[in-house]
Amino acid sequence: MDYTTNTAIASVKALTEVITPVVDAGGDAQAIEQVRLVTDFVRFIQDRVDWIGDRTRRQLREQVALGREIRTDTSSLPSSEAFESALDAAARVSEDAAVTGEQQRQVTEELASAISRAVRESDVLDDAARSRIERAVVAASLRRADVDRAWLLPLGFDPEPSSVRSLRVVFAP
Amino acid sequence: MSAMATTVETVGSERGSDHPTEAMIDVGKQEFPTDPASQIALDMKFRRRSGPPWSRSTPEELTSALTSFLEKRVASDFTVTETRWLTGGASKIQMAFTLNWSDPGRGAVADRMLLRMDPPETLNATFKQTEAELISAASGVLPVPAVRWLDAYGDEFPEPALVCDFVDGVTKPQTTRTGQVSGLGTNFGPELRAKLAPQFVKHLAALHSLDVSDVVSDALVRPDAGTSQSALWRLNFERQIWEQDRGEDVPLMDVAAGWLERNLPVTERVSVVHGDFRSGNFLFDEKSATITAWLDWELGYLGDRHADLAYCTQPLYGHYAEDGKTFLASGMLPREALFEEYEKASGLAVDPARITWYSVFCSYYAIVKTLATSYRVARLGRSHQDVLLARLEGVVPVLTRELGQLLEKVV
Repeated sequence: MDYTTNTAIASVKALTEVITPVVDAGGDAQAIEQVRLVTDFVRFIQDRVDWIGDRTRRQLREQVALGREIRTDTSSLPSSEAFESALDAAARVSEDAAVTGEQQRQVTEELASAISRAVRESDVLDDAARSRIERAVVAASLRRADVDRAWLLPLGFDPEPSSVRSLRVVFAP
Repeated sequence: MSAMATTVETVGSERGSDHPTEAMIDVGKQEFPTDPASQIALDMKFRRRSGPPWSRSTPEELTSALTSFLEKRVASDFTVTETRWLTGGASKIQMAFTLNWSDPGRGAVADRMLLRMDPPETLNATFKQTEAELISAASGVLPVPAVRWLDAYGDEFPEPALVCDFVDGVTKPQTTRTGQVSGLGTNFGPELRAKLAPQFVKHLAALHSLDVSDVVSDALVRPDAGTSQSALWRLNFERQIWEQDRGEDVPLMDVAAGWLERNLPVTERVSVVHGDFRSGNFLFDEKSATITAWLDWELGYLGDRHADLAYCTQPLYGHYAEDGKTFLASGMLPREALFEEYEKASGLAVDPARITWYSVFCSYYAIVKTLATSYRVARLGRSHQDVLLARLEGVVPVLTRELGQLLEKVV
Protein backbone atom coordinates (compact mmCIF):
# COMPACT_ATOMS: atom_id res chain seq x y z
CA MET A 1 0.00 0.00 0.00
CA ASP A 2 1.23 3.47 -0.85
CA TYR A 3 0.81 6.09 1.87
CA THR A 4 1.46 9.24 -0.15
CA THR A 5 -2.20 10.29 -0.16
CA ASN A 6 -2.43 9.84 3.59
CA THR A 7 0.67 11.94 4.14
CA ALA A 8 -0.65 14.62 1.78
CA ILE A 9 -3.92 14.81 3.73
CA ALA A 10 -1.98 15.22 6.98
CA SER A 11 0.22 17.86 5.39
CA VAL A 12 -2.76 19.88 4.19
CA LYS A 13 -4.20 19.73 7.69
CA ALA A 14 -0.94 20.99 9.19
CA LEU A 15 -0.64 23.74 6.61
CA THR A 16 -4.25 24.85 7.02
CA GLU A 17 -4.72 24.60 10.75
CA VAL A 18 -1.26 25.26 12.16
CA ILE A 19 1.03 27.00 9.69
CA THR A 20 -1.25 29.34 7.72
CA PRO A 21 -2.71 31.13 10.78
CA VAL A 22 0.81 31.89 11.98
CA VAL A 23 1.86 33.16 8.55
CA ASP A 24 -1.28 35.29 8.29
CA ALA A 25 -0.63 36.81 11.69
CA GLY A 26 2.89 37.74 10.60
CA GLY A 27 1.50 39.95 7.83
CA ASP A 28 4.18 39.12 5.22
CA ALA A 29 2.19 39.46 1.96
CA GLN A 30 4.44 37.18 -0.08
CA ALA A 31 4.46 34.46 2.57
CA ILE A 32 0.68 34.71 2.89
CA GLU A 33 0.26 34.24 -0.85
CA GLN A 34 2.79 31.45 -1.16
CA VAL A 35 1.60 29.35 1.77
CA ARG A 36 -1.75 29.10 0.02
CA LEU A 37 -0.15 28.10 -3.26
CA VAL A 38 1.84 25.41 -1.47
CA THR A 39 -1.24 24.12 0.36
CA ASP A 40 -3.16 24.02 -2.87
CA PHE A 41 -0.42 22.04 -4.57
CA VAL A 42 -0.28 19.48 -1.77
CA ARG A 43 -4.04 19.07 -2.23
CA PHE A 44 -3.38 18.56 -5.94
CA ILE A 45 -0.91 15.79 -5.15
CA GLN A 46 -3.37 14.22 -2.74
CA ASP A 47 -5.94 14.20 -5.51
CA ARG A 48 -3.74 13.06 -8.39
CA VAL A 49 -1.03 10.79 -7.07
CA ASP A 50 -2.95 7.57 -7.77
CA TRP A 51 -3.41 8.59 -11.42
CA ILE A 52 0.17 9.44 -12.34
CA GLY A 53 0.83 6.03 -13.90
CA ASP A 54 -2.33 6.29 -16.01
CA ARG A 55 -1.25 9.67 -17.31
CA THR A 56 2.23 8.46 -18.22
CA ARG A 57 0.87 5.43 -20.10
CA ARG A 58 -1.67 7.58 -21.91
CA GLN A 59 0.96 10.07 -23.05
CA LEU A 60 3.14 7.27 -24.38
CA ARG A 61 0.24 5.62 -26.19
CA GLU A 62 -0.79 8.91 -27.84
CA GLN A 63 2.77 9.71 -28.89
CA VAL A 64 3.23 6.29 -30.48
CA ALA A 65 -0.07 6.68 -32.33
CA LEU A 66 1.07 10.04 -33.70
CA GLY A 67 4.45 8.62 -34.68
CA ARG A 68 2.78 5.80 -36.61
CA GLU A 69 0.41 8.23 -38.32
CA ILE A 70 3.18 10.38 -39.77
CA ARG A 71 5.70 7.59 -40.32
CA THR A 72 5.22 7.30 -44.07
CA ASP A 73 5.49 11.04 -44.69
CA THR A 74 8.68 11.33 -42.64
CA SER A 75 10.47 8.50 -44.41
CA SER A 76 12.36 10.77 -46.81
CA LEU A 77 13.47 13.32 -44.20
CA PRO A 78 17.12 13.58 -43.09
CA SER A 79 16.22 12.44 -39.57
CA SER A 80 14.09 9.48 -40.67
CA GLU A 81 16.45 6.89 -39.24
CA ALA A 82 16.43 8.51 -35.80
CA PHE A 83 12.66 8.89 -36.09
CA GLU A 84 12.21 5.18 -36.80
CA SER A 85 14.48 4.26 -33.94
CA ALA A 86 12.59 6.49 -31.45
CA LEU A 87 9.23 5.21 -32.67
CA ASP A 88 10.28 1.55 -32.44
CA ALA A 89 11.66 2.05 -28.92
CA ALA A 90 8.51 3.82 -27.78
CA ALA A 91 6.27 1.19 -29.35
CA ARG A 92 8.21 -1.61 -27.65
CA VAL A 93 8.01 0.07 -24.24
CA SER A 94 4.29 0.80 -24.65
CA GLU A 95 3.60 -2.89 -25.14
CA ASP A 96 5.78 -4.05 -22.23
CA ALA A 97 3.96 -4.35 -18.91
CA ALA A 98 7.22 -4.75 -16.99
CA VAL A 99 8.74 -1.32 -17.73
CA THR A 100 8.99 1.48 -15.20
CA GLY A 101 7.21 4.81 -15.40
CA GLU A 102 10.60 6.44 -15.88
CA GLN A 103 11.27 4.31 -18.97
CA GLN A 104 7.86 5.23 -20.33
CA ARG A 105 8.50 8.93 -19.79
CA GLN A 106 11.94 8.73 -21.38
CA VAL A 107 10.82 7.10 -24.62
CA THR A 108 7.83 9.44 -24.81
CA GLU A 109 10.13 12.45 -24.62
CA GLU A 110 12.56 10.99 -27.13
CA LEU A 111 9.76 10.32 -29.58
CA ALA A 112 8.42 13.86 -29.06
CA SER A 113 11.88 15.18 -29.92
CA ALA A 114 12.00 13.02 -33.05
CA ILE A 115 8.57 14.25 -34.14
CA SER A 116 9.58 17.86 -33.47
CA ARG A 117 12.66 17.40 -35.61
CA ALA A 118 10.57 15.89 -38.39
CA VAL A 119 8.19 18.87 -38.30
CA ARG A 120 11.14 21.29 -38.53
CA GLU A 121 12.55 19.36 -41.48
CA SER A 122 9.19 19.03 -43.25
CA ASP A 123 9.76 22.22 -45.26
CA VAL A 124 11.65 20.06 -47.77
CA LEU A 125 8.51 17.99 -48.45
CA ASP A 126 5.77 18.91 -50.87
CA ASP A 127 2.96 20.98 -49.39
CA ALA A 128 0.55 18.06 -49.15
CA ALA A 129 2.94 15.87 -47.18
CA ARG A 130 3.95 18.70 -44.89
CA SER A 131 0.32 19.55 -44.30
CA ARG A 132 -0.52 15.92 -43.42
CA ILE A 133 2.22 15.90 -40.80
CA GLU A 134 1.15 19.24 -39.37
CA ARG A 135 -2.52 18.28 -39.25
CA ALA A 136 -1.71 15.02 -37.50
CA VAL A 137 0.38 16.87 -34.89
CA VAL A 138 -2.36 19.44 -34.30
CA ALA A 139 -5.03 16.76 -33.88
CA ALA A 140 -2.85 14.79 -31.47
CA SER A 141 -2.08 17.96 -29.53
CA LEU A 142 -5.76 18.71 -29.12
CA ARG A 143 -6.33 15.19 -27.76
CA ARG A 144 -3.41 15.69 -25.40
CA ALA A 145 -4.78 19.09 -24.30
CA ASP A 146 -8.08 17.45 -23.48
CA VAL A 147 -6.36 15.03 -21.11
CA ASP A 148 -4.14 17.72 -19.61
CA ARG A 149 -7.11 20.01 -18.99
CA ALA A 150 -8.62 17.22 -16.90
CA TRP A 151 -5.33 16.62 -15.12
CA LEU A 152 -4.69 20.26 -14.25
CA LEU A 153 -8.29 21.34 -13.66
CA PRO A 154 -7.88 21.73 -9.87
CA LEU A 155 -5.35 24.52 -10.45
CA GLY A 156 -8.27 26.68 -11.52
CA PHE A 157 -7.12 28.20 -14.79
CA ASP A 158 -9.58 26.63 -17.21
CA PRO A 159 -12.11 29.18 -18.51
CA GLU A 160 -14.58 26.41 -19.34
CA PRO A 161 -14.33 23.97 -16.43
CA SER A 162 -17.77 22.49 -17.04
CA SER A 163 -16.57 21.11 -20.38
CA VAL A 164 -13.65 19.22 -18.83
CA ARG A 165 -14.07 15.47 -18.40
CA SER A 166 -13.24 13.59 -15.20
CA LEU A 167 -10.02 11.62 -14.88
CA ARG A 168 -12.02 8.42 -14.57
CA VAL A 169 -13.52 9.06 -18.01
CA VAL A 170 -10.31 10.37 -19.57
CA PHE A 171 -8.24 7.40 -18.44
CA ALA A 172 -10.87 4.73 -19.05
CA PRO A 173 -9.29 1.83 -20.97
CA MET B 1 8.53 15.59 -18.57
CA SER B 2 10.96 13.72 -16.36
CA ALA B 3 13.53 16.44 -15.64
CA MET B 4 14.11 17.01 -11.93
CA ALA B 5 16.27 19.86 -10.78
CA THR B 6 18.65 17.72 -8.82
CA THR B 7 19.07 14.81 -11.16
CA VAL B 8 18.93 15.87 -14.79
CA GLU B 9 21.20 18.33 -16.54
CA THR B 10 20.19 19.41 -20.00
CA VAL B 11 22.90 20.73 -22.23
CA GLY B 12 21.22 23.06 -24.62
CA SER B 13 20.32 23.10 -28.29
CA GLU B 14 17.96 20.12 -28.14
CA ARG B 15 15.96 21.01 -25.02
CA GLY B 16 17.10 24.25 -23.49
CA SER B 17 19.92 24.83 -21.08
CA ASP B 18 20.64 25.53 -17.44
CA HIS B 19 23.96 27.09 -18.44
CA PRO B 20 23.80 28.65 -21.91
CA THR B 21 27.30 29.36 -23.21
CA GLU B 22 28.22 32.35 -25.39
CA ALA B 23 28.41 29.96 -28.33
CA MET B 24 24.88 28.73 -27.66
CA ILE B 25 23.59 32.29 -27.31
CA ASP B 26 25.29 33.22 -30.60
CA VAL B 27 23.70 30.28 -32.41
CA GLY B 28 20.30 31.51 -31.27
CA LYS B 29 21.04 35.06 -32.42
CA GLN B 30 22.17 33.94 -35.84
CA GLU B 31 19.31 31.55 -36.38
CA PHE B 32 16.63 33.83 -34.97
CA PRO B 33 17.75 37.47 -35.22
CA THR B 34 15.62 40.05 -33.45
CA ASP B 35 15.92 43.81 -32.96
CA PRO B 36 18.97 45.11 -31.04
CA ALA B 37 17.02 46.31 -27.98
CA SER B 38 15.24 42.97 -27.57
CA GLN B 39 18.57 41.22 -28.02
CA ILE B 40 19.96 43.17 -25.05
CA ALA B 41 17.12 41.79 -22.93
CA LEU B 42 17.80 38.25 -24.16
CA ASP B 43 21.55 38.49 -23.65
CA MET B 44 21.05 39.71 -20.09
CA LYS B 45 18.59 36.90 -19.38
CA PHE B 46 20.78 34.11 -20.69
CA ARG B 47 24.09 35.41 -19.38
CA ARG B 48 22.76 35.95 -15.87
CA ARG B 49 21.38 32.41 -15.66
CA SER B 50 24.62 30.98 -14.36
CA GLY B 51 24.36 33.16 -11.25
CA PRO B 52 23.12 31.93 -7.88
CA PRO B 53 19.46 31.22 -7.16
CA TRP B 54 17.27 34.01 -5.85
CA SER B 55 17.58 34.64 -2.14
CA ARG B 56 15.27 36.94 -0.33
CA SER B 57 16.52 40.42 0.52
CA THR B 58 15.27 41.85 3.77
CA PRO B 59 13.44 45.18 3.55
CA GLU B 60 16.45 46.66 5.35
CA GLU B 61 18.90 45.42 2.70
CA LEU B 62 16.81 46.72 -0.17
CA THR B 63 16.18 50.01 1.62
CA SER B 64 19.93 50.40 2.09
CA ALA B 65 20.51 49.87 -1.65
CA LEU B 66 17.67 52.27 -2.43
CA THR B 67 19.10 54.92 -0.12
CA SER B 68 22.52 54.69 -1.76
CA PHE B 69 20.86 54.89 -5.17
CA LEU B 70 18.85 57.98 -4.22
CA GLU B 71 21.86 59.74 -2.63
CA LYS B 72 23.32 60.03 -6.14
CA ARG B 73 20.12 61.46 -7.59
CA VAL B 74 18.36 63.52 -4.93
CA ALA B 75 20.03 66.84 -4.18
CA SER B 76 18.22 67.56 -0.91
CA ASP B 77 18.26 65.69 2.37
CA PHE B 78 15.76 62.85 2.30
CA THR B 79 14.47 59.85 4.19
CA VAL B 80 12.89 56.62 2.99
CA THR B 81 9.99 55.45 5.14
CA GLU B 82 6.96 53.12 5.09
CA THR B 83 8.63 50.40 3.04
CA ARG B 84 6.49 47.35 2.25
CA TRP B 85 6.53 44.45 -0.21
CA LEU B 86 3.83 44.26 -2.82
CA THR B 87 2.61 40.98 -4.27
CA GLY B 88 0.54 40.31 -7.35
CA GLY B 89 3.17 40.22 -10.06
CA ALA B 90 4.83 37.03 -11.19
CA SER B 91 7.76 38.78 -12.77
CA LYS B 92 8.93 41.72 -10.66
CA ILE B 93 10.01 42.28 -7.07
CA GLN B 94 8.13 45.36 -5.93
CA MET B 95 8.62 47.47 -2.81
CA ALA B 96 6.47 50.50 -2.04
CA PHE B 97 7.99 53.31 0.01
CA THR B 98 7.59 56.96 0.87
CA LEU B 99 10.30 59.42 -0.14
CA ASN B 100 10.41 62.42 2.16
CA TRP B 101 12.40 64.99 0.20
CA SER B 102 12.51 68.45 -1.25
CA ASP B 103 11.36 68.27 -4.85
CA PRO B 104 12.58 71.11 -7.07
CA GLY B 105 9.51 73.27 -7.66
CA ARG B 106 7.32 71.71 -4.97
CA GLY B 107 9.44 72.05 -1.86
CA ALA B 108 9.26 69.59 1.02
CA VAL B 109 6.99 66.70 0.08
CA ALA B 110 6.33 63.09 0.99
CA ASP B 111 5.88 61.10 -2.24
CA ARG B 112 4.76 57.49 -2.36
CA MET B 113 6.91 55.59 -4.82
CA LEU B 114 7.52 52.10 -6.09
CA LEU B 115 10.77 50.23 -6.63
CA ARG B 116 10.41 47.63 -9.42
CA MET B 117 13.34 45.24 -9.58
CA ASP B 118 13.88 42.07 -11.59
CA PRO B 119 14.53 38.79 -9.83
CA PRO B 120 17.71 37.04 -11.08
CA GLU B 121 15.61 35.57 -13.89
CA THR B 122 12.08 36.55 -14.64
CA LEU B 123 9.08 35.27 -16.54
CA ASN B 124 9.70 38.04 -19.06
CA ALA B 125 13.00 38.88 -20.73
CA THR B 126 13.07 42.65 -20.48
CA PHE B 127 15.28 45.70 -20.73
CA LYS B 128 14.45 48.35 -18.14
CA GLN B 129 15.55 51.19 -20.43
CA THR B 130 12.89 50.14 -22.94
CA GLU B 131 10.25 49.96 -20.21
CA ALA B 132 11.13 53.44 -18.94
CA GLU B 133 11.12 55.01 -22.41
CA LEU B 134 7.79 53.42 -23.32
CA ILE B 135 6.17 54.75 -20.15
CA SER B 136 7.51 58.22 -20.94
CA ALA B 137 6.23 57.99 -24.51
CA ALA B 138 2.78 56.90 -23.38
CA SER B 139 2.49 59.43 -20.57
CA GLY B 140 0.98 62.06 -22.83
CA VAL B 141 -1.94 59.93 -23.98
CA LEU B 142 -2.94 57.60 -21.15
CA PRO B 143 -2.47 57.37 -17.39
CA VAL B 144 0.84 55.81 -16.40
CA PRO B 145 3.05 55.96 -13.29
CA ALA B 146 5.81 58.51 -13.89
CA VAL B 147 9.30 56.96 -13.97
CA ARG B 148 11.65 58.80 -11.62
CA TRP B 149 14.96 56.99 -11.87
CA LEU B 150 16.45 53.99 -13.59
CA ASP B 151 19.18 51.37 -13.04
CA ALA B 152 18.93 49.59 -16.40
CA TYR B 153 21.76 47.11 -15.90
CA GLY B 154 21.61 46.44 -12.16
CA ASP B 155 24.76 48.45 -11.48
CA GLU B 156 23.47 49.77 -8.17
CA PHE B 157 20.69 47.41 -7.17
CA PRO B 158 21.17 43.63 -7.04
CA GLU B 159 19.28 43.45 -10.36
CA PRO B 160 17.98 45.96 -12.97
CA ALA B 161 15.43 48.26 -11.37
CA LEU B 162 13.43 51.42 -11.79
CA VAL B 163 11.72 53.78 -9.38
CA CYS B 164 8.33 55.18 -10.36
CA ASP B 165 5.46 56.96 -8.69
CA PHE B 166 3.02 54.88 -6.68
CA VAL B 167 -0.50 55.07 -8.09
CA ASP B 168 -3.58 54.23 -6.06
CA GLY B 169 -6.09 51.76 -7.39
CA VAL B 170 -6.99 48.08 -7.62
CA THR B 171 -6.61 45.55 -10.42
CA LYS B 172 -9.88 43.77 -9.71
CA PRO B 173 -13.00 44.44 -7.65
CA GLN B 174 -12.30 43.73 -4.03
CA THR B 175 -15.32 41.44 -3.86
CA THR B 176 -14.49 39.26 -6.87
CA ARG B 177 -13.43 35.66 -6.47
CA THR B 178 -12.13 35.36 -10.03
CA GLY B 179 -8.71 36.11 -11.39
CA GLN B 180 -6.55 34.15 -8.95
CA VAL B 181 -3.50 35.18 -10.97
CA SER B 182 -3.92 38.86 -11.57
CA GLY B 183 -5.87 39.47 -14.77
CA LEU B 184 -6.70 35.90 -15.70
CA GLY B 185 -10.46 35.84 -16.14
CA THR B 186 -11.19 38.79 -13.88
CA ASN B 187 -14.93 39.46 -13.70
CA PHE B 188 -15.58 43.16 -13.07
CA GLY B 189 -19.35 42.73 -12.91
CA PRO B 190 -21.84 44.44 -15.25
CA GLU B 191 -21.87 47.91 -13.65
CA LEU B 192 -18.13 48.36 -13.40
CA ARG B 193 -17.60 46.76 -16.80
CA ALA B 194 -19.91 49.27 -18.48
CA LYS B 195 -17.76 52.11 -17.17
CA LEU B 196 -14.32 50.54 -17.60
CA ALA B 197 -14.77 49.09 -21.10
CA PRO B 198 -14.97 52.43 -22.95
CA GLN B 199 -11.80 53.61 -21.18
CA PHE B 200 -10.05 50.33 -21.98
CA VAL B 201 -10.77 50.77 -25.71
CA LYS B 202 -10.09 54.51 -25.73
CA HIS B 203 -6.69 54.02 -24.09
CA LEU B 204 -5.67 51.28 -26.50
CA ALA B 205 -6.72 53.43 -29.45
CA ALA B 206 -4.82 56.44 -28.08
CA LEU B 207 -1.68 54.38 -27.53
CA HIS B 208 -1.70 53.00 -31.06
CA SER B 209 -2.45 56.38 -32.59
CA LEU B 210 0.60 57.93 -30.97
CA ASP B 211 3.16 59.30 -33.42
CA VAL B 212 6.31 57.27 -32.81
CA SER B 213 8.64 59.29 -34.99
CA ASP B 214 10.25 60.97 -31.98
CA VAL B 215 10.36 58.03 -29.55
CA VAL B 216 12.95 55.98 -31.39
CA SER B 217 16.19 55.25 -29.50
CA ASP B 218 18.68 52.43 -28.88
CA ALA B 219 16.12 50.95 -26.48
CA LEU B 220 13.17 51.43 -28.81
CA VAL B 221 14.04 50.23 -32.27
CA ARG B 222 11.54 50.94 -35.01
CA PRO B 223 10.91 48.21 -37.58
CA ASP B 224 10.44 49.26 -41.18
CA ALA B 225 6.84 50.01 -42.09
CA GLY B 226 5.66 48.23 -45.22
CA THR B 227 7.66 45.11 -44.35
CA SER B 228 7.26 41.99 -42.21
CA GLN B 229 10.26 42.93 -40.07
CA SER B 230 8.19 43.64 -36.96
CA ALA B 231 6.49 40.24 -37.01
CA LEU B 232 9.78 38.46 -37.68
CA TRP B 233 11.55 40.24 -34.81
CA ARG B 234 8.80 39.30 -32.36
CA LEU B 235 8.70 35.69 -33.54
CA ASN B 236 12.46 35.32 -33.38
CA PHE B 237 12.61 36.86 -29.91
CA GLU B 238 10.31 34.12 -28.64
CA ARG B 239 12.10 31.40 -30.58
CA GLN B 240 15.41 32.27 -28.94
CA ILE B 241 13.72 31.91 -25.56
CA TRP B 242 12.09 28.62 -26.53
CA GLU B 243 15.49 27.28 -27.58
CA GLN B 244 17.11 28.06 -24.23
CA ASP B 245 14.26 27.60 -21.77
CA ARG B 246 12.20 24.57 -22.72
CA GLY B 247 12.52 21.32 -20.83
CA GLU B 248 10.88 19.16 -23.48
CA ASP B 249 10.13 19.18 -27.18
CA VAL B 250 6.55 19.98 -28.13
CA PRO B 251 5.79 19.19 -31.78
CA LEU B 252 2.81 21.59 -31.81
CA MET B 253 5.20 24.46 -31.08
CA ASP B 254 7.25 23.52 -34.13
CA VAL B 255 4.13 23.44 -36.29
CA ALA B 256 3.18 26.89 -34.97
CA ALA B 257 6.66 28.36 -35.48
CA GLY B 258 6.79 26.99 -39.02
CA TRP B 259 3.38 28.42 -39.93
CA LEU B 260 4.19 31.79 -38.35
CA GLU B 261 7.46 32.01 -40.26
CA ARG B 262 5.83 31.12 -43.58
CA ASN B 263 3.05 33.66 -43.12
CA LEU B 264 4.71 36.76 -41.66
CA PRO B 265 2.36 39.74 -42.06
CA VAL B 266 3.37 43.18 -43.28
CA THR B 267 3.02 46.08 -40.82
CA GLU B 268 1.76 49.17 -42.62
CA ARG B 269 2.06 51.51 -39.61
CA VAL B 270 4.39 51.28 -36.63
CA SER B 271 2.80 51.90 -33.22
CA VAL B 272 3.73 51.70 -29.57
CA VAL B 273 2.73 48.18 -28.54
CA HIS B 274 2.14 47.68 -24.82
CA GLY B 275 2.71 43.94 -25.07
CA ASP B 276 0.61 43.03 -22.02
CA PHE B 277 -2.55 45.09 -22.50
CA ARG B 278 -5.33 43.28 -20.62
CA SER B 279 -7.36 43.19 -17.46
CA GLY B 280 -5.08 42.86 -14.46
CA ASN B 281 -2.57 45.31 -15.89
CA PHE B 282 -4.46 48.48 -15.18
CA LEU B 283 -5.34 50.07 -11.87
CA PHE B 284 -8.73 51.64 -11.35
CA ASP B 285 -10.51 53.56 -8.65
CA GLU B 286 -13.36 51.33 -7.58
CA LYS B 287 -15.58 54.20 -6.45
CA SER B 288 -15.37 56.35 -9.57
CA ALA B 289 -14.68 53.43 -11.96
CA THR B 290 -11.82 55.39 -13.49
CA ILE B 291 -8.65 53.77 -14.81
CA THR B 292 -5.83 55.42 -12.87
CA ALA B 293 -2.77 53.80 -14.44
CA TRP B 294 -1.60 51.32 -17.05
CA LEU B 295 1.11 49.07 -15.62
CA ASP B 296 3.66 46.49 -16.71
CA TRP B 297 5.25 48.06 -19.78
CA GLU B 298 8.17 45.65 -19.66
CA LEU B 299 6.96 43.70 -22.71
CA GLY B 300 6.40 46.76 -24.87
CA TYR B 301 8.07 47.64 -28.16
CA LEU B 302 7.49 49.47 -31.42
CA GLY B 303 5.58 47.28 -33.81
CA ASP B 304 2.20 46.20 -35.15
CA ARG B 305 -0.90 47.26 -33.19
CA HIS B 306 -2.58 43.95 -33.99
CA ALA B 307 -0.30 42.33 -31.44
CA ASP B 308 -2.12 44.16 -28.61
CA LEU B 309 -5.53 43.57 -30.20
CA ALA B 310 -4.99 39.83 -30.53
CA TYR B 311 -3.42 39.64 -27.08
CA CYS B 312 -6.20 41.33 -25.12
CA THR B 313 -8.84 39.18 -26.81
CA GLN B 314 -7.22 35.83 -25.95
CA PRO B 315 -9.65 33.44 -24.23
CA LEU B 316 -7.39 33.16 -21.18
CA TYR B 317 -8.03 36.76 -20.19
CA GLY B 318 -11.77 36.74 -20.70
CA HIS B 319 -14.87 35.11 -19.29
CA TYR B 320 -18.53 34.56 -20.13
CA ALA B 321 -21.01 37.34 -19.34
CA GLU B 322 -23.98 36.85 -17.04
CA ASP B 323 -26.02 35.30 -19.89
CA GLY B 324 -23.56 32.41 -20.01
CA LYS B 325 -23.21 32.78 -23.79
CA THR B 326 -21.38 36.01 -24.54
CA PHE B 327 -17.63 35.78 -24.15
CA LEU B 328 -16.09 39.03 -22.95
CA ALA B 329 -12.53 39.75 -24.08
CA SER B 330 -10.46 40.84 -21.07
CA GLY B 331 -13.76 40.87 -19.15
CA MET B 332 -14.76 43.96 -21.13
CA LEU B 333 -16.55 43.48 -24.46
CA PRO B 334 -17.26 40.75 -26.99
CA ARG B 335 -14.29 40.52 -29.33
CA GLU B 336 -15.99 41.92 -32.42
CA ALA B 337 -17.54 44.79 -30.46
CA LEU B 338 -14.14 45.62 -29.01
CA PHE B 339 -12.64 45.78 -32.50
CA GLU B 340 -15.49 47.95 -33.78
CA GLU B 341 -15.16 50.41 -30.91
CA TYR B 342 -11.40 50.45 -31.37
CA GLU B 343 -11.70 51.30 -35.06
CA LYS B 344 -14.09 54.15 -34.25
CA ALA B 345 -11.84 55.53 -31.53
CA SER B 346 -8.54 55.22 -33.38
CA GLY B 347 -9.44 55.57 -37.02
CA LEU B 348 -7.17 52.57 -37.57
CA ALA B 349 -8.44 49.48 -39.35
CA VAL B 350 -8.45 46.03 -37.77
CA ASP B 351 -7.09 43.59 -40.32
CA PRO B 352 -8.55 40.07 -39.81
CA ALA B 353 -5.55 38.38 -41.42
CA ARG B 354 -3.16 40.06 -39.01
CA ILE B 355 -5.47 39.31 -36.08
CA THR B 356 -5.23 35.64 -37.06
CA TRP B 357 -1.44 35.75 -37.30
CA TYR B 358 -1.03 37.59 -34.00
CA SER B 359 -3.56 35.31 -32.28
CA VAL B 360 -1.46 32.29 -33.24
CA PHE B 361 1.63 34.20 -32.18
CA CYS B 362 0.11 35.21 -28.81
CA SER B 363 -0.77 31.59 -28.03
CA TYR B 364 2.70 30.51 -29.14
CA TYR B 365 4.52 32.95 -26.94
CA ALA B 366 2.22 32.41 -23.98
CA ILE B 367 3.27 28.75 -24.13
CA VAL B 368 6.91 29.81 -24.37
CA LYS B 369 6.44 31.65 -21.08
CA THR B 370 4.22 29.24 -19.17
CA LEU B 371 5.73 25.96 -20.31
CA ALA B 372 9.36 26.82 -21.01
CA THR B 373 10.42 29.91 -19.05
CA SER B 374 8.34 29.12 -15.96
CA TYR B 375 9.83 25.65 -15.87
CA ARG B 376 13.41 26.83 -16.29
CA VAL B 377 13.19 29.67 -13.76
CA ALA B 378 11.47 27.54 -11.12
CA ARG B 379 13.80 24.59 -11.75
CA LEU B 380 16.82 26.78 -11.06
CA GLY B 381 15.17 28.66 -8.19
CA ARG B 382 15.79 31.98 -9.91
CA SER B 383 12.83 34.08 -8.82
CA HIS B 384 10.86 35.22 -5.81
CA GLN B 385 7.75 33.58 -7.26
CA ASP B 386 8.99 30.11 -8.25
CA VAL B 387 5.97 28.43 -6.70
CA LEU B 388 3.64 30.66 -8.71
CA LEU B 389 5.63 30.23 -11.93
CA ALA B 390 5.57 26.44 -11.54
CA ARG B 391 1.82 26.62 -11.06
CA LEU B 392 1.44 28.29 -14.45
CA GLU B 393 1.74 24.80 -15.93
CA GLY B 394 -1.99 24.79 -15.25
CA VAL B 395 -2.50 27.32 -18.04
CA VAL B 396 -0.66 25.29 -20.66
CA PRO B 397 -3.47 22.96 -21.80
CA VAL B 398 -5.80 25.95 -22.14
CA LEU B 399 -3.23 27.64 -24.35
CA THR B 400 -2.39 24.46 -26.24
CA ARG B 401 -6.04 23.92 -27.01
CA GLU B 402 -6.35 27.49 -28.23
CA LEU B 403 -3.23 27.20 -30.37
CA GLY B 404 -4.36 23.87 -31.78
CA GLN B 405 -7.81 25.20 -32.65
CA LEU B 406 -6.28 28.21 -34.38
CA LEU B 407 -3.83 26.08 -36.34
CA GLU B 408 -6.55 23.62 -37.34
CA LYS B 409 -7.99 26.38 -39.51
CA VAL B 410 -4.79 27.36 -41.27
CA VAL B 411 -2.38 24.40 -41.69
